[in-house]
Amino acid sequence: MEWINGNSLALIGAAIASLAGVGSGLGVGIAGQAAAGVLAEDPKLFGRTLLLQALPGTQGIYGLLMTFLIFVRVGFFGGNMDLTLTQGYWVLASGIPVGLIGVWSGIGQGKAAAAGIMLTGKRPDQMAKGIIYAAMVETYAIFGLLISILILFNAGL
Amino acid sequence: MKKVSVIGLDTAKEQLINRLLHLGCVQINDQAGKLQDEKIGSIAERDGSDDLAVELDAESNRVAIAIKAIEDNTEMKAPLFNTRKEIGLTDFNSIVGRRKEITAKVDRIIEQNDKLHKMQEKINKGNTDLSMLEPWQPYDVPLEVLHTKCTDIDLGFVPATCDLAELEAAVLEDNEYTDIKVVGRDTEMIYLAIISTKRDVEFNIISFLKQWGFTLMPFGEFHGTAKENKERIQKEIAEMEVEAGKIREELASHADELFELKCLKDEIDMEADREKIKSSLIKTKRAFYMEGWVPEPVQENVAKVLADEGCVYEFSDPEEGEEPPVLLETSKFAFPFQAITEMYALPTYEGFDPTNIFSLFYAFFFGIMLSDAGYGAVLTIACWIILKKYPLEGTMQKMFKMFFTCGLFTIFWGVMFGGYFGDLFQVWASTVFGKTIEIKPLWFNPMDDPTKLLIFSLLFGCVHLFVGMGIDMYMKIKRGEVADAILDEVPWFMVIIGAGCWLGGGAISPAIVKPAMYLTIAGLVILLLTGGRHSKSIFGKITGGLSSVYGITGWISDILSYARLLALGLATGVIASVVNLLGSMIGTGFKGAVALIIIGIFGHVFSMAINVLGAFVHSSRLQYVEFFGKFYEDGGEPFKPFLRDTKYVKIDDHK
Repeated sequence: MEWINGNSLALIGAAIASLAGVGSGLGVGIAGQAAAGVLAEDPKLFGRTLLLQALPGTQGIYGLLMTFLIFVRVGFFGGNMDLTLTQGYWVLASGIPVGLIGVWSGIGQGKAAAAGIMLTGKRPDQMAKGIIYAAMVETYAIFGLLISILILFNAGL
Repeated sequence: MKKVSVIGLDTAKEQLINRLLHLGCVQINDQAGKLQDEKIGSIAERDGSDDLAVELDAESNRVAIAIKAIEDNTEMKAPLFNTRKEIGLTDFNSIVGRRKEITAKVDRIIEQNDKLHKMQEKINKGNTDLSMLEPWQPYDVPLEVLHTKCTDIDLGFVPATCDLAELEAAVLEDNEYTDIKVVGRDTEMIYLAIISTKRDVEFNIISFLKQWGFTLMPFGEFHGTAKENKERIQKEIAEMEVEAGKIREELASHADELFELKCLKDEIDMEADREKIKSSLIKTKRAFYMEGWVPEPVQENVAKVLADEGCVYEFSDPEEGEEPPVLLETSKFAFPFQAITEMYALPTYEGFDPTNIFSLFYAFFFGIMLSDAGYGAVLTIACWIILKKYPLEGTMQKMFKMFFTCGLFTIFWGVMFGGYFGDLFQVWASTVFGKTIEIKPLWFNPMDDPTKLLIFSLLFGCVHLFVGMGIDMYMKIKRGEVADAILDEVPWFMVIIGAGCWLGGGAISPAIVKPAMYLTIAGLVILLLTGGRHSKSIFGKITGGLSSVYGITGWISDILSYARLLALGLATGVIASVVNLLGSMIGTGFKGAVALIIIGIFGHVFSMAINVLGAFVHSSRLQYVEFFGKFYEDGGEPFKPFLRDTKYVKIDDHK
């Protein structure tokens, strides 16, 4: 199986990291449904609900961020990728935390954001708290990213 | 906040209320509760007349309807921000002086508006009738003819799914002198005219036909054939449209009077407010009593007005058990950050207002998270232009001022980290001119060494948390709980500083590792021994100690939370680089320049929007959850002074 080499493993790692976008996609979708419902009652709330809807989008950004960091780190853009098998496995490992955590934290944040949007619909003055509830979820995506970065940058590339 | 109690003569009341309204810095409290006291109740009664207030509200509503009618029928570009227009007091008075004239206009506008609405209703009804008549166009018998001498005619429809052959067979079996004509059909219905001979016995053909879902057409009010009716209604609608257009034009012609109407609406609202505030007062035959809150800095101004009007007044400190309203008092730098405090919840009156302290941290963290000099500059300039162009007030104004300050900090961090729209200049040089340039960050580029930024992020976090704990200590000492202040906070300082130096101190000097270890252990031991000091039983003391040591998990999660400074800071740099990368992929030279400009504009606008949102949300979160969590006591009622609460105009007394 000569296609399993350092380079291909590293790219699989990069691809896994970008999977965090799955969570964001679902999360933003969930929040968007709630936002549309609230808007039917009061169209003036568009700006506020949009703000809340955007919150679960960050997991996807962290996934993109990690993918990009891997690309830069392994020299993908320069075209001079030359990784040993061990290095390849390390890079693969570095992609997993942000990708995997991103999926579920994105969904969770989407639900929290949807609830925040409902809250905004009933009591617009309480929007800030809705934002904070949603932002609490994001902490874990940030931890995932943190672990990914620590693995990548200490992988001895 | 001082409590002011005022007794004055009835003759001075109107003038006093008017002047307090202009001063706008007294919150007048409802005194109806005082009437419960028998002694007061026997001589005093509630002031103010509800009838007048209701009347004024109704008048204000009418003006509001007129304003809306004009605005709805005028093509005006909605402004980006709704701001109050500034007007001099003399100009304002000269406009509202023509109140009768303007009110007459309002009446006319409302009359026209009602007419327009009625017409609109008629047009709608006409359109419904038209769609009802449409399938009956081929039917040439007048619609009011429902029977002849010997026959009955029933007009109606069945669902398109109905089996006509079966229906016909059943009908013929029942009465062979029946003719069923299909007049028309569409996707949902089949329209039928059923002609049958009159019978000797009473027979209800409709209920018989209902089994097939037959429904009668409600043609009760029509005369003549469907075609004639259609033509008539179409003509009527056309006529009404013309008429409605004329009314709309007339309403639109009032557009230049809109400002007068708005002034009048504000004037009426102010009058209503004056009337309503009177019901918070109590009065005897010739005097009145008023009570309210006055912020200390303006106490002198209020006292002067009260003295001028010949009132007897007294300023006193809030009594035990009274909750005065809260008005934040901050430095000029921190002023816009009040928006963040207000968004959370105001501190209690006795509590600590941290706005002055956290404003610096807020802007500092915002800067690290956005961390791009280009975005910072755009944000600062955009806020500056908006603040110059629009006379914003309240929370809006605070927000833009806040982002202005945050933008400046972002520029600072952008220069430190070497981010100018990501790596736009480097990419531009290499794609367009084929040259390689390097822009050195002042400090370091977090993309090269994220671990370094992580350590600094956590360090900044510790400083932030320590300040929060310091405030908690200060508050506890102020309340006289000195032992709590020391035992709750100092061990944590020892543990965190100790653990930090123990784990990371080796990099600075190996000599500090050992003492740091002892410091950490000492801190933990103190926590273990004193954590349960408030509980009486031995068991409680042990679990209290253990649970307070367990609190270390909370500290770890609080400190790690500051890793978001790194995550969001990197995210900005990366998204900006991705945008530049996409732009550079199209080609080189002139083609590359065009691609970079077009993709760059869209991409960077998106990137900036998403990153500003992130920086705003997460700086707020770090204050709300991590920082406020250490000491904040919320639940204060906002100070709501009696002021000129106008919607459209801002009155300048000096003009």
